[in-house]
Amino acid sequence: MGGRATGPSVLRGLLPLLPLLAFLLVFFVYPVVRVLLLGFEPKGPLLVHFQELWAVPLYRAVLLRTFRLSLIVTVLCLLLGYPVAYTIAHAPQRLTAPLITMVLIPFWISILGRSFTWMVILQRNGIVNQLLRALGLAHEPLPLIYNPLGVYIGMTHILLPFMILSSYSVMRGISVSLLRAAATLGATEWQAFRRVYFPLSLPGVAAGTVVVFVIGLGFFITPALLGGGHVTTVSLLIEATITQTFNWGLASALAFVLLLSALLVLVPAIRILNLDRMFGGSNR
Amino acid sequence: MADKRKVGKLLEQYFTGEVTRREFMRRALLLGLSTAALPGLITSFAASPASAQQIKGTGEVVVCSWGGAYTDAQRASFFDPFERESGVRVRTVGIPDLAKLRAMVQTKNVEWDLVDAEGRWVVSLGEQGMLERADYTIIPRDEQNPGSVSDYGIGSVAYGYVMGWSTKKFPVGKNPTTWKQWFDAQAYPGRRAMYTDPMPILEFALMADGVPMNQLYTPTLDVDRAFRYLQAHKSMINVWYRATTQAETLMRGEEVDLIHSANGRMINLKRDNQPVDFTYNEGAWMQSFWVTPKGSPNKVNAWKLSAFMARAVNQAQFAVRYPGMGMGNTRAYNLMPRESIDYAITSPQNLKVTLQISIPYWAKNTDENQKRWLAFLG
Repeated sequence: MGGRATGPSVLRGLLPLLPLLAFLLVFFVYPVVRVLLLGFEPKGPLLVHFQELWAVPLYRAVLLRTFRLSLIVTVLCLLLGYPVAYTIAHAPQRLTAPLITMVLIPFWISILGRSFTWMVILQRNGIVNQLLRALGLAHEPLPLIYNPLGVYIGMTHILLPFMILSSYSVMRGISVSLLRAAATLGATEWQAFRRVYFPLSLPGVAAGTVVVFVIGLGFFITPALLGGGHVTTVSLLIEATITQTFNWGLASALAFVLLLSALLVLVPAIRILNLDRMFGGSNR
Repeated sequence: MADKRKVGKLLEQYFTGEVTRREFMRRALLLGLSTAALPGLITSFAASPASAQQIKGTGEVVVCSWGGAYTDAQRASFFDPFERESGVRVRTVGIPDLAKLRAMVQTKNVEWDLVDAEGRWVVSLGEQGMLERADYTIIPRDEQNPGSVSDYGIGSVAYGYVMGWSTKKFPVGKNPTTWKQWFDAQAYPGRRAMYTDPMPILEFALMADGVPMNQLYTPTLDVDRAFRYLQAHKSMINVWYRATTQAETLMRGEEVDLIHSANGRMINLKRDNQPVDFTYNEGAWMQSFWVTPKGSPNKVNAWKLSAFMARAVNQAQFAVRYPGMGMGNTRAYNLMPRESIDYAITSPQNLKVTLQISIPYWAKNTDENQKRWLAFLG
């Protein structure tokens, strides 16, 4: 990529995006703004719903829980996804396509289907518990589901491909010769990885982390099905507020707070991580 | 002429499947009926009290129902035969949505003519003037039980909630039969799941705490006491499930031993020979209604369809196809096989041991109770 475009050429460059931007404006931005505006009460005190959110301890607890949940899932995805992405990026050419396909297959199965499958696998008489008991590793069935653990497992499984794919796309561009160069300069394999490879792979990791974290914040089905009522997240609360109490104002205020707090995390992250490098991967 | 009472009895036996078609013909001839008269007799028996003439019409009627096997059973028992008899086309759409119905009426753009609506909606929608008043010169209501007749339409089904258990864990005679027992972890040790909805868990909690079933709403539901009881017993509930289908997964996987569930889910498991049983004792039901949004373009057809659905025979057929639902026509229970009567939540025998959830109470208090419920779950 050459030097930064300036002046009119920026606009020319954006021209191909116009259809998409117009679409998003009508079908995404407008409805979202409309819904968020419902959080402000035009007829009463403007911020009455936000005052309620602040006053009732339930809402703060749920917001904190949602952030903690998403953070834990992001860390799990990172720990599990990085080695996978590394393996695929440096596997022999003929294995790349099959491996990527294996990562992609879960994308083709609905989240609902996958969550129900986890219910069957993780339940007290599920495969995992049967195996553990057959091997003598457990005498009582372990509580793997209908608690936070079940939600971690289910969400990590669903979000893992996002982490793997964004890490992989950057890792693929890292030249192996850089590692050889490090080796000729006397670096051990570990040193070469830690000081050369890892820093170069960071943009992909950062992109994956942000994507997983943000999607995780809004997760609904998996906590609803695998949490057993013990893991109420903001999205669950929003749904209950609308369908059970028909309180659109309060639900919109909740959505507003969730969006705002996600942005508060995202904006600094994007600035620190350098937006340019995040999704482009062309940093050399 | 043959004895009318005997003919009536024979027709009932024929419709309940107690006698085969061949046996029916044989006995009919013995009663002195001619073969030529039989088809007309069957039709008129099936049709009473709404005669075929009142039902004839033109055009279409759009029915909004809940989809799946439920709407399939409605189509087979009500909509298809109605199309044949009336000449009116029935189009089904899904699914009933309170907010959508309100929006339709307010924007004067009503797409639904007949909606299978929950009882608590009917109260609030009716008060807001969003529903047509049913025309009871078209819909016969003399055979309906009083609880299944509203100003805005007749009952579609009654459905409800029951306690269920694993028969592996609690064999016959060792199972709980009251909510007091269900919540007693000492006498009935095991894992427990409840469907997360304060209606009618609050009622069940009060029953467990000793409030007699017929005094729950007098003067009003003691919500504070119910939540106190639930708070004290909260730790024994292992799963609060959010999708009614989960009840089956939970019991099949032996994830829990005791459950609070929609009655239909327990019936599915029993019919599938799972080691699961349930009781209607201290169960609770509420009535749904067929209602017409204000300004519906085909409201007369909607009432004609309602009249058709009010017939005992059609309701009996529905109850056989979709077991568990309570039917409003009291005579329908004379036309059902034993199993369907046992399963129907508002059959005469089950009506005696179950609670009718108060629609006016929940129409007024759902918001407040839901808020407390969310805080209770945390």
